[in-house]
Amino acid sequence: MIDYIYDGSFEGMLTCVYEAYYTTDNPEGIYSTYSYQGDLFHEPKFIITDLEKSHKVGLAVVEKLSETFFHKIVNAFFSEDYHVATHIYKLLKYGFKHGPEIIMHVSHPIVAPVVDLVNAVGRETHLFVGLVRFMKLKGGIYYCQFSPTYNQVPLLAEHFSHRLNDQIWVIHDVERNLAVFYDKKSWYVNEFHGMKDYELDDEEILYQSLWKTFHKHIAIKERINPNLQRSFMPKKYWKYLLEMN
Amino acid sequence: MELLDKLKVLAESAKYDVSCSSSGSDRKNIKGMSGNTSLPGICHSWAADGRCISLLKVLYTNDCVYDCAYCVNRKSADVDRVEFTPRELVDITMNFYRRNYIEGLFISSAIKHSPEYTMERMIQVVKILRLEEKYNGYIHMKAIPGVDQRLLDEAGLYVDRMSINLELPTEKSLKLLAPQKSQKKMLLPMGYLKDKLLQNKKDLKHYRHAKPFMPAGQTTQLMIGATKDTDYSIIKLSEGMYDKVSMKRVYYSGYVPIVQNNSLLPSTVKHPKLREHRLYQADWLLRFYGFKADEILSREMPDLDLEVDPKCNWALKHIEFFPVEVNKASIEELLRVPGIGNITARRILQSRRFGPVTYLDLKKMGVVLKRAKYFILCQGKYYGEIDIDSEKIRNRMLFYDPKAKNIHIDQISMFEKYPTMFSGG
Repeated sequence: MIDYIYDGSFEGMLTCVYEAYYTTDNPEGIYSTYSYQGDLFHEPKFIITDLEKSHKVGLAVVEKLSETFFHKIVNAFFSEDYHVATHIYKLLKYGFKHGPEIIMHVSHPIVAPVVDLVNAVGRETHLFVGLVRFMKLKGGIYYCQFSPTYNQVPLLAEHFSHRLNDQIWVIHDVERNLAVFYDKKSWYVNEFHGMKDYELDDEEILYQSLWKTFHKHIAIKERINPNLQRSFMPKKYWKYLLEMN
Repeated sequence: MELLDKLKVLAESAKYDVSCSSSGSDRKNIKGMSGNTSLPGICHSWAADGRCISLLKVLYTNDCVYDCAYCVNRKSADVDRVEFTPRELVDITMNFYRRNYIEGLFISSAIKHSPEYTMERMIQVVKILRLEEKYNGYIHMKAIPGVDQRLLDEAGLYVDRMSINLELPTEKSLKLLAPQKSQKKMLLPMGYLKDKLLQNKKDLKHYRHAKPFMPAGQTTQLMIGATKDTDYSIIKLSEGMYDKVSMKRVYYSGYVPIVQNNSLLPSTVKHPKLREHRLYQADWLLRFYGFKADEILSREMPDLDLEVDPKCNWALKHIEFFPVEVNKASIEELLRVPGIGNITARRILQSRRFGPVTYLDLKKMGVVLKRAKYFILCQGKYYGEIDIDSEKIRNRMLFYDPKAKNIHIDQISMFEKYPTMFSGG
């Protein structure tokens, strides 16, 4: 039995789906080269990413299934779950056969794992749309560090490019060494290892302390409830959260 | 006074305003302006009391001419009186927004000099934000009852949502605690805003250049627990608010005994949080589940049951409707089942198109089975394990509910229930 291995990119995964359709390999699973563990009974086969092939698969998903179907696959992919590519491959196979409505059959054993991942990633994206904190650097760049559970950098870019469209900003995933850059016109994602030293804007400390003061005094003291606070804002996110430090 | 201290005082006095939602407005970004709004709203942080922080919630000033007994900023209270300048507040808002601390501004105020004077200052702030700073994010403004309609018209063009607080559920309680306010004075602008909103809806359809007026509608807030008003009168009032003035939300704030030594106010409140929670549950039933206020409570049963939620309570009283077969029931029937909400009901309907829903599927779809199992059939089978009998189900549910044990409802005492037995007569 064969396992397909791709280079970790979304296009790589789609190329694997293409190859699975047009060869007789009939792969058991599709895995990223970064996390593949392998075993005695499966023979790994590395698939070289081909943009043309991946584009064809992407187009087929949008045209034959639906745009929302495509967005769901993208969201699930960024969960970086070990089995995610296998799940997506099986879902696409099932979807191409039975039509786009199958995505609503949430209790189906092929659909459920992907939908669960989509929901988990979506929930975290929505949380980080609020929890991202920028600091203003000298020169007017707004810079943010964070470390989400899933790969949120590409998913957050769209929202912030609409909202903060008249300022230059960088959102930096410290654990994944990945960042999205926005220059008032367009955004792009790139590898980023952080800056050695950066200087804060003159007013930055003032506004940070204003925010901390506000955050502290808006709570009703008679009703302090740390458990509730933690359940909305889990502790794993506090490291880069200004008001919790 | 330092800006930091000002913010401290004015945030502290705004904290009893419950509303912090940034939902209801869906405005795309405009070129050359900063910000947009999101239809479902976005929470940006959570305070130590577990409430979400989405808007920068502050008073413009806490210097008040009114003397409402329950308020921290009443005229006779001994607190520092401060006031922002419009520029200060605008700078804080913009800088917080650009750092993604907040979703927008919630501006409220104590009444300084006169309602008009205060409202004009607040309008000045939002005008600077919109026109000078090109701010396109969310703004919620507290309107002040008794101002000229001209001011409401002007404010409505710049803000997303306006609200007028009803403060207390009945005219009688208002007379007692806030003699300078009257319910009529608050209902008048609400009705006016409702008409304006309807008119605007028509205009937007017909005219290309019509400007949106308060796209997120209006809300209001009630304080509960400070007076002896019943839950029945409160949800009856809320129902009227939703039906008659098309209110988006009614907020309830459980009274926190901040003012001591006042004979008009209770010094302790029993289960304030729980009562507040139950009222919100009842409120949700009104808005999303197709319930009527008279179904939830009645004149004979004027208070919500603290032990079980209002929907469970309804189901236990109308046990003849149950059990409901999840594979056949309509959405209205599903919504009446305790443990099945709007999202879950929709999921069940979706899933039914592909085949029968099994009991295991229900759990995956998010049905709260510990409540729902007594009221449903799944593929013809009943999973409740006991007879379908209100008393038995109620006891079983309370037995398995760890939270119910913390509610110390007044225990029935033998001495009180059978006084004659012990009176020696």
